[in-house]
Amino acid sequence: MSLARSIPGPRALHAVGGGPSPSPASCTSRGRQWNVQPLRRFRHLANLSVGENNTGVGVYSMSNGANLNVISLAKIGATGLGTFNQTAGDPVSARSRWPPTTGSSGTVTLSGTGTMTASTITINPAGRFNLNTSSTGALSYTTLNLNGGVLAALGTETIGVTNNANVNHISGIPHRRQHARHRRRRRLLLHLRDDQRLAQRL
Amino acid sequence: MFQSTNTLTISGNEIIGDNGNGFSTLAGGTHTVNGTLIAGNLAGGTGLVTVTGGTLSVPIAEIDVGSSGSGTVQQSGGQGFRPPS
Repeated sequence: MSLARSIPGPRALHAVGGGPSPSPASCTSRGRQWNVQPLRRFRHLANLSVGENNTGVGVYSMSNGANLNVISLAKIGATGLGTFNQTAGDPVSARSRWPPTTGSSGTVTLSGTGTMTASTITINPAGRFNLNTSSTGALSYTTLNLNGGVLAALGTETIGVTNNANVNHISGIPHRRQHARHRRRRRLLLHLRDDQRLAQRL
Repeated sequence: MFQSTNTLTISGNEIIGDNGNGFSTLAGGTHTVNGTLIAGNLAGGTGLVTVTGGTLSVPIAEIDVGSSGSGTVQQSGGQGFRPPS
């Protein structure tokens, strides 16, 4: 039986990602800074690759009360076409706890009451992360690297509520609705400043 | 392959759909692969893994869904890739 790629055998456990920062990390954006506690370090290794090679087409779907725990690295579309869909149609949330990475042609959709916890998320060119969760669904991460892909959030995105959160925006389109909200808030602040100046003149 | 109870441990790799069509369903019990689990290995291979219950564990290596072929994992219940306790 031939294998399309080199398959590593069982190897020593090694932790990649998911570890705590040695000191509380911070995120500074538009003059705001978040300092919170780090996530726990994962101690075991198990990888997930959806769409590994250039001819590979992979689909991973989670629903209902399914539980997925990938300890080390999850690649959605490494060099192939990978799709990961997580939803939960009933009150029991589907849960994921992993560091997902979207590669050359990868799409991750988190919807419904799904909960996903990651240490590092990297969205590369042609990668897309759709965050369509309901009010009880959540995406938690320590570091988000947006490296040319698209992060599309339908709901509210809050960075650094109880944990460290680092957002490294290299290129790509982040947080479309968040940008619109910031633009509205900026316009409102400019109007208030103009009103204050007018009141001082009077 | 269909598993609904008991424990199955594979010390090496498990391939569902090497160069043809392969199907594997886990409805109960514990299914552990200590090597790599591949669904859809070669370009002509199609692998379908369905987890409706039980525990699917790949604690050391990795799972490839669509390595060079077409792979699908449908998880509607149970637990996938639990680490060793």
